[in-house]
Amino acid sequence: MLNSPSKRRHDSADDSNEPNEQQPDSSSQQSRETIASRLRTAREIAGLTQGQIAKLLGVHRPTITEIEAGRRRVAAEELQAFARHYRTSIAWLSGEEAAIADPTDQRIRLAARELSKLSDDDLERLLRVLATIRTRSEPDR
Amino acid sequence: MYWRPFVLAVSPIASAIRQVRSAMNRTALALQAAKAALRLRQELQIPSTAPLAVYDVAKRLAIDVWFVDITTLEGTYLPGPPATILVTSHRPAGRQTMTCAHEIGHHVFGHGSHIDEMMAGDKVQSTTVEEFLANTFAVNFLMTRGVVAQGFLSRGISATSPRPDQVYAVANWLGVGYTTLLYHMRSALKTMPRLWADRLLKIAPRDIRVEIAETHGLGDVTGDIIVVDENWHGRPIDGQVGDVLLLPDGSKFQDKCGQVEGRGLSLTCPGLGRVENADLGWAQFVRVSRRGYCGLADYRHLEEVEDD
Repeated sequence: MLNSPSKRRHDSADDSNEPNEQQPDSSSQQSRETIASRLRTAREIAGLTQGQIAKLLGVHRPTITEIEAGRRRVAAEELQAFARHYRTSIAWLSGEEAAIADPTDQRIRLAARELSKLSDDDLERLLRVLATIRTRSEPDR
Repeated sequence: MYWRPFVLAVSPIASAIRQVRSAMNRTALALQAAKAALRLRQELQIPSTAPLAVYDVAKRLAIDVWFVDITTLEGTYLPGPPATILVTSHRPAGRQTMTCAHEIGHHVFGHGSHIDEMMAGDKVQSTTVEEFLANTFAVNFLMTRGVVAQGFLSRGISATSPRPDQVYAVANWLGVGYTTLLYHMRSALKTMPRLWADRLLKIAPRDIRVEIAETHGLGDVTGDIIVVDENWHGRPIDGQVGDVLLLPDGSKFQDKCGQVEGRGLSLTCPGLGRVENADLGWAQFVRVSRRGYCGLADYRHLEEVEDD
């Protein structure tokens, strides 16, 4: 499942579930920050507070705060659980997919004519939401 | 130059034929949509005389419903998988219900991706065959002839000459807007005389709410007022923080998502509760979401966690 290059790099940096005390290399740090940022975005789109997702996952709220701040690495099983609760994919959470959906993407299949009905701000919001939630059924790479 | 008088003579006839054909097509399409709505109710074992909780229906159909902070969007349907419906968080609850039912219509008819932009007022606007089908499906799914009749009959209200607050109460029970119900009864079901319906349509729901609040001493209500009585069966009572439920006299509510004062139950935080009235032998579940909730419909009633 979780065999993307970025994820492998991430795993090799720290094999424990505890906060990483070692100085991470820059790509590992970048990957962690991307995951942290995506987790926060996905949680907000799903309508959950940090406390609510912590309760759903059976962890303490500060754990979520640490993860979303990029100060704690996320284990593979945790990422899978986040993806399930947020109705998104591990690939999107890992930053392997664009943060904003491509309106010409075949999976979205939204006619340009219809998209043009929305204001620019709303169109961007819509594409961001779609990027997050539309990839759930894709196989994890 | 002989063609000019010919066209002039034929044109009105051709136009009339086109109009008749169009009307026939619309009637056939309306019948198709109404049948599909009833068929889905049967499949889900929801009686045609019962109201329905549209987001629960979507869940049973394995459709993910999301409320999104997008003002110029009414709703979106994406076939998936997973089939997905987006509903704007910027509309009243009744309108959101109608939008979700409309998008379920697209799902039932196997339509492709759709964006339904914000529509002015509650009038049904159908610009394409697909939109017409989805709209007609939605109104027939939520407001079958049977459930509308039941709404008035069980409350002992005349369906032909009701008062505005009575229509408002039935609309609350059905989960639709006041004007939506009136349009449906006047134009589709034809159970309310046009003159009476038009008179009621001139009264704004906001004025009805003000009058209810004054009559029952509910004070300043920031959200909606939902009229609940002992005939509220068939679906839970869904509200948002800031809404006030007008309950039957002597009702009790002991859960933390609401507070009773007189006949008013103020919804104070997200969560689930149960209102009961021992004298009437009646009880119903109450589900409260954040005001203007954005997120997955499944999570809308989750309680806030203490240390948030």
